[in-house]
Amino acid sequence: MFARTSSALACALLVTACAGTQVWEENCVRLEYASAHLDDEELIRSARRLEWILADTQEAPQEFALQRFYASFLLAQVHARASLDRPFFEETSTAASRVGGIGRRETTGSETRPSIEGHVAASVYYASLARGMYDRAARSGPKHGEVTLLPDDLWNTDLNNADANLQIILTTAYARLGFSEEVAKILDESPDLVDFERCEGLLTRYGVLRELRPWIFAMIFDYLKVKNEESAYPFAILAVEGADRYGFALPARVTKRIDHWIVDEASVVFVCPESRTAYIPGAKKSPISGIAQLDYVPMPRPAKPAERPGE
Amino acid sequence: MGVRTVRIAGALALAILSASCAGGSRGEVLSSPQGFPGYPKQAQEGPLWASAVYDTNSREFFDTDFVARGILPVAIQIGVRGDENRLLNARLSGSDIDPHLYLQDGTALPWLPAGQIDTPRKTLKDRITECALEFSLLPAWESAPEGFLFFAFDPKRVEIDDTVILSRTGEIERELDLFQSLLGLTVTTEAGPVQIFVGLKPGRWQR
Repeated sequence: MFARTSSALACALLVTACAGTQVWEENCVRLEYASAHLDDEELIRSARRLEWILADTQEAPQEFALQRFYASFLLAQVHARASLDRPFFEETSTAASRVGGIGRRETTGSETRPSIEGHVAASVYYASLARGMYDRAARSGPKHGEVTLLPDDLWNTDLNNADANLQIILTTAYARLGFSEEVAKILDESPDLVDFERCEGLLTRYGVLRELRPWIFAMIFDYLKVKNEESAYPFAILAVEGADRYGFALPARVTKRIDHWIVDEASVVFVCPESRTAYIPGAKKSPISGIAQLDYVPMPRPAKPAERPGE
Repeated sequence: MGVRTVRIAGALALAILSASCAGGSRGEVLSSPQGFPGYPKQAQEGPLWASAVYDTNSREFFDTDFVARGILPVAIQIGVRGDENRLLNARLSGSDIDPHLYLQDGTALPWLPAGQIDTPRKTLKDRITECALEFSLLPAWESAPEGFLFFAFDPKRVEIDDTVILSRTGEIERELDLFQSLLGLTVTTEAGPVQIFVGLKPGRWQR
């Protein structure tokens, strides 16, 4: 077993005594940098700065509880974002070519490739790390002496909303990995999230990454489709229209699966309320009325014509 | 103040600590999250079921210390529940399975095919071949035997001691729980490849 023999109290005192207010100030700068660069090419630098916050304060977790919480929170965001279309982890592949279920683009048979799953695992790791720090962070004051602990934009991320954001990252990761039973248990306890009228408002309030939303809607669609088809439909549309609405397109096999459910598997058909044209995969609106497919309504599926004898 | 200054301050604190705390410090170690239950230990992807078991007595089982050689053997049980395999034709194929073991921090341990494990001992070679996961049509889950997949790691980057892992990236070390790792592999079916993921669980290997 690796020895971790240092006394937490002694360490806390030493780190505090040695660093003065410098560590708090520097952490605040690092948090500000990472928070401002969640959606650009700076993910690797952001991750490095945030990990240094955790490493530099590891021996005094209570002293730095709030900054550690938000460092882990932002690391979960970094890896969730990277897992979509900005991966910087790599893995060695033995497969020549395939299209996976959680977001793999078709590979060209090269020895290494971006590790989507690695980022999903890392998002789970840091989201779990952050949630484990929540209680301590909630007891932390906003300042250390005269030093403000968080940059302005993180002050606007309420701690409870940040925690809800992390729960959504964890749940979406589970959904992407195929753990549907665990997802259902969590969503059973989240009636507001699976309510179409409230869902987007909640995601905005929680500060959930826009690009992650197609995965969230696909997850809610899968959860609802066996409970209430009419409620599942608008989530299906938001998921398949992710590229236009949220800047991230789900893998083709996921959108094909959703389209297949709408067109062939649901017990109802979804049609334009005016022209009665049925849902068309890939179309955004009715070719006749111009009404968005999001606003389509269910109607009974016509019975299939009976097969004639001999056919 | 730059990052460098903070590192110096941290180093100073650690230098003092090394004198005052028994055992000293291993450096910048991030600890494992508390309260995370890990990934589900039983995967179900439609009719496909899978589990992955690591036995801390692997040395006893194989009569060799694979971990010391940078190899982590994991026993997989994978099969089909119900009568659906007639339609699925689900199978494992060496060219498609592409398994990985993902550590908590996202580090992906690549698969080392059994035939690529180099050993001069014929008895060990035979044992590895005999125990390796079979690439064939998936059997019924209830009667699916355990078969091994071997994962490679670089001992300079990943250190495994019993169930605790030290994973290093640059100057950062993360202390991870082996049993919060995630195994992923691909099953070939008539409808195309299906990825399946399952959490690693502790256990005793069966055969």
